[in-house]
Amino acid sequence: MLYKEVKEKKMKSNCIECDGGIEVSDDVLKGEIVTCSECGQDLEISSLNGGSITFVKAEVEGEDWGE
Amino acid sequence: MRGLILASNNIPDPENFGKVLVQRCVSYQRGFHTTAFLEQAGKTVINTKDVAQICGNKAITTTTLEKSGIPVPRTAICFSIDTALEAIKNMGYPVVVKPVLGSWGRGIIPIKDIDTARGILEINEGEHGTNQVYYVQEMVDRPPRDIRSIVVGDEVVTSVYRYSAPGEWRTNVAKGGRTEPYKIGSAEEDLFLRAAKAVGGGILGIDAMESPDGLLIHEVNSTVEFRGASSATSIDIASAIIRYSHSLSKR
Repeated sequence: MLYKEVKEKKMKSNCIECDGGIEVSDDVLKGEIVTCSECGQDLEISSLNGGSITFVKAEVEGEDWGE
Repeated sequence: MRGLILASNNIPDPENFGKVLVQRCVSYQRGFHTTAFLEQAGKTVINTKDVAQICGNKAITTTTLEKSGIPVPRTAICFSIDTALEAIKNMGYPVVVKPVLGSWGRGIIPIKDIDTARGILEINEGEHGTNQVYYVQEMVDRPPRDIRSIVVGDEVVTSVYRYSAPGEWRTNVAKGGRTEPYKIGSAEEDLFLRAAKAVGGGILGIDAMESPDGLLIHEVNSTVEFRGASSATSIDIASAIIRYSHSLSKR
């Protein structure tokens, strides 16, 4: 074997909309947006505490956004 | 900005907010209301809430500019489908219908015939708030570009052409438009400065179309974005904004 497979470490959590399971890479940063593969809700990582992730619903472009 | 509590009896701590603030909130409503509270607490906010109010609504921008003698496209404000169709008939097709509140080219629709006009107006009819105001404007006979000038205080810091992206008629950088340097003449510079003064001044992105009769100012942005203008010129816009803010802090 010339190179060994590097396994990405994952953290597990649940979607705040549908409670579906979500796995995110362990190098995510606060503020990153992930999408729930079960229901499609965009979720913003609002805090990371050890292996525990807290999500809030990600904001989408509002009709008053812009210049 | 996800959340902030500003109460009239809870004046923000000057240590946290400083004396002069530059309002950069991407949401117009959040920016406008936080500016109002910060001004009430004695802060200098760039731009002021009065400037934000004028620039945040295209109808108010147009009427404010026109009052100061700034050339603007022919525009009508209507509150029903029938009056909007009558205004369009008087103006002559094609026209453009725009939401009075909004940015980045969102919801700006060219209308070439009465069937499309009726359809678009009927879609808006079920909407709420400012979407019930029909802002109807002549389709200006212009090249596939407009001119964006960035005014900071009493200076036009830079001006660029904004060209529409392929397959797109709107010139917004947010819609993929590209920018090129524009060498501004003294008469044009005077026009942009007068337009800035008309809305109350500050840090502004002023857009003009080249009509057969000369420049027409069609928009003034009070939380100006300058990614496009920065990429086309070597002018340091951010530094000009900092210098201007600093000068206000000394007053």
